[in-house]
Amino acid sequence: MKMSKQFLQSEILRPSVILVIGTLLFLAVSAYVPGFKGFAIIIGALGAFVIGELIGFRKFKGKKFNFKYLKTVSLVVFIIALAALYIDFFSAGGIPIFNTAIRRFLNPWLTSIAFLMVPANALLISAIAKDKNAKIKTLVLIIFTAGMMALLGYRTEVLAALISGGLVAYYCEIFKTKEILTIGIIAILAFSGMTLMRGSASTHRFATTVAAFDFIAEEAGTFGISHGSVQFSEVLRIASDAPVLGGRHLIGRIIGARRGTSITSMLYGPPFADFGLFALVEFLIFGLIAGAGYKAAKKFGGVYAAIHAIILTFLVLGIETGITDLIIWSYVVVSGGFLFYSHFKPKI
Amino acid sequence: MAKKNIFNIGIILIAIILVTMIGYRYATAETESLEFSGPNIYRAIYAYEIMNERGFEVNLVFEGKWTDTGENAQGTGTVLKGEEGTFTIKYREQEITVGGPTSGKEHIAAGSIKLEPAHSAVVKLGLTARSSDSLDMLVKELDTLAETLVSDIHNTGISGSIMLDSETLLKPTILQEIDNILGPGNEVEFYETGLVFSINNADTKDLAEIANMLRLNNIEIAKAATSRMTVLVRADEQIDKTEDELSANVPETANVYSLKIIKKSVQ
Repeated sequence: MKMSKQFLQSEILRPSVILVIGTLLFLAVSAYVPGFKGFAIIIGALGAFVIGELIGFRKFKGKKFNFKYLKTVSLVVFIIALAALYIDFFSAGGIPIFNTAIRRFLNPWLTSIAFLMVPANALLISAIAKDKNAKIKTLVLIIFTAGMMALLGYRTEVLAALISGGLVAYYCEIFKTKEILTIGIIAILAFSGMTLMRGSASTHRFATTVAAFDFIAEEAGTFGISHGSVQFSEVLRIASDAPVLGGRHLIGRIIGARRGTSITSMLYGPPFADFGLFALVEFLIFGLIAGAGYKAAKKFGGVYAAIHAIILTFLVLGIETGITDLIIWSYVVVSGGFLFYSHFKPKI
Repeated sequence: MAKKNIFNIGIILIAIILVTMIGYRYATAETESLEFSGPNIYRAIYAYEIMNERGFEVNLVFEGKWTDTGENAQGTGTVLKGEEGTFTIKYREQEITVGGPTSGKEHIAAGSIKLEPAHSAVVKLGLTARSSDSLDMLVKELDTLAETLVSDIHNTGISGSIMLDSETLLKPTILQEIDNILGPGNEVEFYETGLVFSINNADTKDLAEIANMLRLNNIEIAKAATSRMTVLVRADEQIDKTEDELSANVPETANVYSLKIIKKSVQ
């Protein structure tokens, strides 16, 4: 069997496989391993995710979706994001990748709008899949988006642009197997390069994240301790007149870090800090969305591929950082909502 | 079909390798001990808080780097304070701070940390409020009480409030000198004719040093009064006697309302 066919028939892109391997890899490179409770939580969460994925994959009955204005809409969002990025740099007084101190002067709202370039890029790629020179256009889009996100100095968004762009191109059959593998290698090199530029190449960063998760695993109990304040701090901030501590800052406070220190606690830390054992439901829902998206992306490509790529990308990147940003929750809600709508309203 | 797929085989192989690596780490991990890797400093502080709560003085063995020079650093110091990801320790008669491996603010960026109880056991006493004619007399009273209970005393820790009336007009520099003796975790309030100590982390030697310093500065104390106090008699050797046996040794005039022997620093 040819390698490309084997790749096509393999389970390598199954969301649960990617999540399990990603988690194992993260734990393996960390200098610290969690205790028994930590492992039990990770296994439980992955188990819930697998169950959700199986249900999503088997039961999803969406139909092919053609949105006439997809290209225009995604292009407009892309341009708005680019403009927001420019204004953000202008108001901050510089470009963070060249001077990391500039990052503290970035406007959070403008930065969030600039982040929309990543999903806009994925949607745009799915919209130009049948165009002439689609491969070159896609490459230019991916490199341009990753480059723009690199200027912000956030590794996560650079990787998100590369991985999600590559996945959409694969599902929409713009790239072949070898090309998708090349993009994967570039993504790993970009991650390593940016880590080196930020001067935190040691495994201590990962170990701190795992240790923070382990601490939460022991403290969270059955019902959690923060009841939504970690994962949905930005939503609470919008609704509240009083100042609200950011999700990762709250993790820092829970584990006893110095005031103002932001600490990541893996994909599993924030849900369990918030809801304890009930966080398993969250992983079941993640699995449902990922499973349904995986099926739809494989079967129909197009906008489904873009949606699935975004969700999968942020889940994988969330293995280190956790999902605490409003913008990522909005991707989850929009994607889940779209898949739900597509399932129950077949004639779109 | 899927069985012979080279990518699926690759995934399984990678998973097995990773699980083996994690399993090995798990088997040699720092669980159930007082040794911590640097990134796990938060857990070390949690453990220290438990030990401190139980009345134990704790030594911290560190290995890492001096953040200003990048030179290797290793040594042992007595923990004075542990909070917010940082230990403050007394190391070679200096107060220094120890943080995690990526810290830049602290003196030491630790790669590994070990907590060791500085002694074997603690007799925790609850004392009713009392007054004395001087600070020296109060210290002597506490030391005598400690000696009736334990023969090999490591030190006698105290927590509570002590107020001193001064016959002499006090000057603010005295406040700094007292602060230097007491160290972190304790507070001193200054009045022109008196001092108020809020003590959480000091021992009778510190109080004796303060009494001596006041005497050298020609400050005469007219009266010393305390709140209810907790006295921690720290013993270098394990205590064989029972709580009842020790209670029988306590003179009635000592006004001790509780006595507890703590034999383990963590439980």
